[in-house]
Amino acid sequence: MKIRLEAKRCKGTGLCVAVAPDVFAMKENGIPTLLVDEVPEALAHDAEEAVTVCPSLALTVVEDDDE
Amino acid sequence: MTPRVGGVLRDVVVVGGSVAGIRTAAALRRHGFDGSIRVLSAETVEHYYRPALSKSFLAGEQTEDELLLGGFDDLNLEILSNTLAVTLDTKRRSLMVRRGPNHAEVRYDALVVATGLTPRRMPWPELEGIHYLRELADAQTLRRELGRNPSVVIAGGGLIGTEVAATCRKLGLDVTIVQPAPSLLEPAVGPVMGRLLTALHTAHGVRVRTGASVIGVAGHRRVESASLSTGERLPADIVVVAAGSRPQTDWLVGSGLDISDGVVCAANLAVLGAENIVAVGDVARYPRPSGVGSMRMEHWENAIRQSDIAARRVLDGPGAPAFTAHTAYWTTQYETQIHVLGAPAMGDEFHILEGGLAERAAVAAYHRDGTVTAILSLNQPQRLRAYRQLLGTARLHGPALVSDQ
Repeated sequence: MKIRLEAKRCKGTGLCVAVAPDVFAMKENGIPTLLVDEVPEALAHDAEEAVTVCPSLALTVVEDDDE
Repeated sequence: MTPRVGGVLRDVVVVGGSVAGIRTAAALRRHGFDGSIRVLSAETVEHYYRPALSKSFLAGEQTEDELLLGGFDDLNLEILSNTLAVTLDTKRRSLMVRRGPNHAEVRYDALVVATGLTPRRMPWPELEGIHYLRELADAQTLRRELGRNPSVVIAGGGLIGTEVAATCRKLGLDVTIVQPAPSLLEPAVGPVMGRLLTALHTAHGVRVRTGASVIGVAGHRRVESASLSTGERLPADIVVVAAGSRPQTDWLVGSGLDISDGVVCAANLAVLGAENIVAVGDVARYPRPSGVGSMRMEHWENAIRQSDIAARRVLDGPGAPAFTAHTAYWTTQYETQIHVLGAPAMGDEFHILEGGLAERAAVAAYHRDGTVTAILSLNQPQRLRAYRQLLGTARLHGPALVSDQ
């Protein structure tokens, strides 16, 4: 599973970092960055939660078979 | 669709076109509902990012178009904008709605109540320059007026009041916050964080009057001054009233539903005393996860998390799961970002778990009677995850930290 982050939509709320700190990190500019290219199984639940709670719909799950 | 529980489910009507309503509609589709979903929205504009109204949008950093969230193009929703629900007849499963001068009846098989909040109004004379902030139209008007270099008085030092103050300072405006509590945001975050936020705003040039409220306004046609409970009179070109909100349930008066403070729901967000009605978001009053008493959460993320539960209750009936998530809110003021996970109450004790307030980087816990009620991050959102399992546990005892982390 991969996560796509649309920086243009991001409002910098930090909620993704709060629920999935091993998947996202806040950069100096207040916009998060992805720490992993492929989300490992152990972090999949956190990553999906981040996608769900993102207040500005900036995150989407890209399933492996979508590629 | 084939109903998963008794009764036909073809038409879902969602009252409220903001995050709670749209996300519930999206969740219905995600869970396989393929019938009709009509969303009644009181506003003209489609689903947008309301949290920016007190921050970046008000500061002029974003256009209206940039606020739009979209995200429902593929959901096959019928969105009725400028449309207000007027009355509800639960026996007929029918709403009366109004759009401009026109009334119409709307029937439903299941109803989603997502009408949110409306600001508390002051019993003041109607003068120009007095503003409430809830909808995009409110923010558009206020933003225009802030462009004329006014002096601003903000009645209320909660989330909206402090965020508007920070925005005003960003615009270089003269601004005073009048806050009834002893410090800013104190009812939400307690006295320790309240004092920190008061110092933060003071350092950024905001005048803060604590222990005071705005009791009246004066002016000819336009507001010219605000009178405080302390006897002080502040010159003001603009008064922003940010004195809290109340659930938007006027349309449910006479429906027979319990609307004493929000719409009273079961743990799975089914509205009590009605069939096939759920409530979601700011308007929903639901049992506390602890089982003692009930609560409402006036926060965006709460609406998002509840939307999935509300949709499942619509589709699965009484067997649907309860809403038990701890929800978070955030506020950004100047360069400081605060996240609160859980629901602190007045009088909760406050303990730093790591970092320090002076360093502007800390994680702290609120607790009451030995149970952790909330976790707060000061510029450390990446640390919240490590501490969230403390919520609802008794892993802090008195001033000594007992944590298995």
